[in-house]
Amino acid sequence: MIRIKPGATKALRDSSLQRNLRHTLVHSLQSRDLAIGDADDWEELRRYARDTKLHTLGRLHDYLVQLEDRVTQNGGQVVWAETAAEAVNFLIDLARREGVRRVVKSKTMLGEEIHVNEGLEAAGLEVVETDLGEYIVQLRGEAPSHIVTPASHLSKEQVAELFTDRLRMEPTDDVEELTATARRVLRRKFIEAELGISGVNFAVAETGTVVVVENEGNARLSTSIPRIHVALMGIEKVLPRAEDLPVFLKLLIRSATGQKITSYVNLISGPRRAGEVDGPDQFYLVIVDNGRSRMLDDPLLRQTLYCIRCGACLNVCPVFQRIGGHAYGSVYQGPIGAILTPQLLSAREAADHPFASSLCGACHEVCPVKIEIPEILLRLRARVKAEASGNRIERLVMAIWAWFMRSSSRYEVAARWLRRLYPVLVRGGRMRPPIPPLSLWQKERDLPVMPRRSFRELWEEESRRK
Amino acid sequence: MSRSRILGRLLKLRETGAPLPSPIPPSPTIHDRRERFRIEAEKVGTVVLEGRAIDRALTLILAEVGATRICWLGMDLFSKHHIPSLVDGPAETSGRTLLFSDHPDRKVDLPVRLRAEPYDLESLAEVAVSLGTAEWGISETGSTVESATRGGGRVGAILAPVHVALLREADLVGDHVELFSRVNLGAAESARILMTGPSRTADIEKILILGVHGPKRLYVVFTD
Repeated sequence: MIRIKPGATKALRDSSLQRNLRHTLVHSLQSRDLAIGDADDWEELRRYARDTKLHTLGRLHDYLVQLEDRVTQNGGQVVWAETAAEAVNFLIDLARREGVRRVVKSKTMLGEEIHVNEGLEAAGLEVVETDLGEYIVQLRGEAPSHIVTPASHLSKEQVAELFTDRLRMEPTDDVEELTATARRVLRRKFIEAELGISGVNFAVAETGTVVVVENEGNARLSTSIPRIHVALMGIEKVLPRAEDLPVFLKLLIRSATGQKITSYVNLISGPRRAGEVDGPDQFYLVIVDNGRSRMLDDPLLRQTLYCIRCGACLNVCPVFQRIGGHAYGSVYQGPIGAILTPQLLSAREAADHPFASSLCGACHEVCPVKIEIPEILLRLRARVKAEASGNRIERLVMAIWAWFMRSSSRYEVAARWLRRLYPVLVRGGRMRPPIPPLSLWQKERDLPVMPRRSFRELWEEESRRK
Repeated sequence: MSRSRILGRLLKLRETGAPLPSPIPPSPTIHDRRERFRIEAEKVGTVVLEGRAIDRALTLILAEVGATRICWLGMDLFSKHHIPSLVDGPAETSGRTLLFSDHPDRKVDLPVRLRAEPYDLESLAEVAVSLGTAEWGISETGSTVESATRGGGRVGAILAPVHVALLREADLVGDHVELFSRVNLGAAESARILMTGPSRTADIEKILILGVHGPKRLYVVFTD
């Protein structure tokens, strides 16, 4: 089982991580707010996107068949993978069959989810990430810490140290020079690679077009220079029409980076055609399920599949802001990771995830496709508790709690009693002497000061005075 | 078989109650397309040149970036933008060919003297300036659209440190809604790209750096 607490505790005590997180998140939040302030039709766009997703998920069968049809007409091939292993094995077989030794990759969260790098490397292939942030975390042997900005947990000094060490670069912390070094190294990798792997932001069913959004140009090069291009998509990425793209591009890009549009939007419809000077000879679209069709079953949980991976819910989440991405111990982090991970794995394997939230609702407010993340978290919490074999003490405490909460008079008596007891036990924000397990609370924080009177009492007093 | 298992499950869960929303209409607020294009393009760091003859505009660019060689992406670019040209040597313009012109004194004269070479990735990767033709321009975001078809290719526009896109005012659409209702994706080409400003990254400490994998400088030249 993945535990969040050890990673979170470590993250909270890591002052350089705290500084890096604060720096990048403030930047991301501001850019997004400015970009959305610019779009007066934001609510209309969100509604449109949500309706489109609702419609499309109900007819995934039809749209995926149509997509397959069009991709084939465009000269590409569609491969279906029910599990992560199937997708990775297809890639390994393809590489063997085609004599591939070197692979370049542009960003794909699905690739992370199915652990494609590990799989291909174990088969003896060289796999190089080409997005700058992904390349940095790959060199460090780490997982991305954010679905949009994978290296946002690092400072430029840490990157400089890494490049000096691994790329034999002259020591510098000039970001311009660091970037130029990565450009030079990766340029060779593009030219030498035989296979390029990319993700898919959207796939248009009516035209068989795969859309890849990027700022650096690495996705363009990964999908065009090697003689084989494999695009990985989850079943939920399909959109019915080309006319849906303007809305989804606007929502995704403004939410993810705060830009009006990214530097590049690639619209790929198959392999190189007769008369074209470049492009891959072979194009494969791998459609991966890996647990997604299971989520369709439930109308609430199904919303998880609306996600367009913009990362806005991470940036705005008070938990993510403090603990960062790695603490989640999963491929997807933050609020979306908290609802996606238990469904992709199992409630038991990711039992901590639904609880790594204060249910403040900021993620739902910011979500461009309005996923009801807090509702889903509650549902998943219930699922974890139902599956857990049951902690007797916890059940007893909850039963007592429920008994007091069920009647207003019992509640008031208990509250009054607690208000008197509290100052005896807690002084200066600390419980003295500490009484476990209650004292666990104060390991990381001060206890609040208890007001002497309840809100009700204050309200009555106020009303009498008038 | 995975295909039938996945599709079988999806068929069982098929729900046709929710209708597809009707497409949103194009933005009514873009009045002067050319002016809006220029404003938006300049916001993201694109250099827009207009009101200059093509030879003057290209001479200016070569001087600015200190380059002596241009790779011309596309065969029909010359007729589309009325650029007189001559191909030296065997005029092999079919198949996989790249067109280069050399300007040792950083001056572009008309007609442009072109040299056709067989397609070679290494020589494409070394060229300082690539020049392509925009199929469309998008005023809303100051973007240009280039197609892989008709000799345009996919990577010429990304590999060079400087890219120039030639654009006609007649090819401007107001916004992305208009673009995607007019463009026929995949009908004639294997790839299109929407380009907006230079290649950029902010992956290290959110510090903006231009030219990470693609061009550091992007020019759009209006040819009418």
